[in-house]
Amino acid sequence: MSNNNASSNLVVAQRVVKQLRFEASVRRIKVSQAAVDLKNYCLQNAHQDHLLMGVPSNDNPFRPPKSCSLF
Amino acid sequence: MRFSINPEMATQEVQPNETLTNLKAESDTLKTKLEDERAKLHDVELHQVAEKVDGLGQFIMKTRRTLKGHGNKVLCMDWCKDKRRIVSSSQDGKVIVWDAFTTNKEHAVTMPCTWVMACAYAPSGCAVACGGLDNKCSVYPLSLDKNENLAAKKKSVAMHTNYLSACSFTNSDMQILTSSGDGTCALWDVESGQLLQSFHGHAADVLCLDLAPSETGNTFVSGGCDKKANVWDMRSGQCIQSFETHESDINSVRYYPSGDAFASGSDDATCRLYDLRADREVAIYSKESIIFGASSVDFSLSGRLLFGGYNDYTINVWDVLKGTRVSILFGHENRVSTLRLSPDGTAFCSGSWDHTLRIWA
Repeated sequence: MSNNNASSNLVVAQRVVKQLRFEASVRRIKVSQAAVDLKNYCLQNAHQDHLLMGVPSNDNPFRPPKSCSLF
Repeated sequence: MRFSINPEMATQEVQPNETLTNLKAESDTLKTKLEDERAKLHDVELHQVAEKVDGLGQFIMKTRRTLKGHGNKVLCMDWCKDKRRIVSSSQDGKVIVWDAFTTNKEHAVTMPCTWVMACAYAPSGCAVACGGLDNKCSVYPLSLDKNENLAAKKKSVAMHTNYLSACSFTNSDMQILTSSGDGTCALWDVESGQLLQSFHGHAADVLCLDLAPSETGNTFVSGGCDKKANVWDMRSGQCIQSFETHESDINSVRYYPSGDAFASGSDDATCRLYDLRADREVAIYSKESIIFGASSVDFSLSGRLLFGGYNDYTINVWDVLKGTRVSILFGHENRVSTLRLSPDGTAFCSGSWDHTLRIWA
């Protein structure tokens, strides 16, 4: 019984170490560079972002259309 | 390539004679090393880089449609690619397909279980997937014939050993990705129901998942009750990055539109932004006055705005770059449980425990 527990603990520990070695090997860039890229993406795509820019009522299917009256 | 590793280090095999004590010691050393490496590159905060960016003005976003018809808490919703149809699922077992423009119900299915926590629209618009306490994910083809009994054509695809918390079609109707209370995620072939890949690594229930935008390759992110957000390689099943900075369950994860980052919403009342190339958390969206958990998050089209649905019935709108809140949206009369941007970014939909869905624009 105790042997089984010991070997399964070992297997789990081996898996954890293997995964951590993998994660430690990841190549990373500086936050300053990553942040600039995020900022640039926002700015470059801002004009297409209707919720950001607002969109005229007749273009947005969910905004109520201007009222029209029939005589 | 989005993601690169040092090959020598990554493939070092664990020697069989390494004892438990050695392995534990090595695991602690590696964790410290990971923290140090990430900290070394933390040379600036995102909001500092965004200082010169123009602030956002006043936002006028209102409820434009209210979808009423569910008899109990709305738990999940998804948009159809046609930008007007929506599928939603509820605690009472009902799954409804709506035309969001007209608010008409087009289809309704009663599931054999309650708490349908997950639902998703197929990319073709011809089917929906859903599941919950039945531990399964089932696909229902949508018939043009309104009288046809949808339940008759139901196809059981995924089988977990605990509740289904989230599901998503990949970029075709042929494969579905699921996450479960059993602590795993899995990729399934819809036609055969075969398990294609399983993803192990979370130490507790997995509550949410999101697929990377198709241009950025085959990865997805998941969040769970173990407070971790994991990024996975869909082909190998490997967890390639893991983030553990939240202080409680992660209820929602969503990729930034460029695919370089993702946001999370948690029971710790914060939303956070993680950059994948810097491999760390780069922003926290929180206020002392916000003390209830965030249940669901999504970005606006440009990634500048982050919408968060909270358990205090509100939706907070955050400036992603500057880290400030730009708006609070009131309207729901109970917890907001689900929130998604429409496919063309002109509106977003929220679902709530108040039995309704609202379209905001």
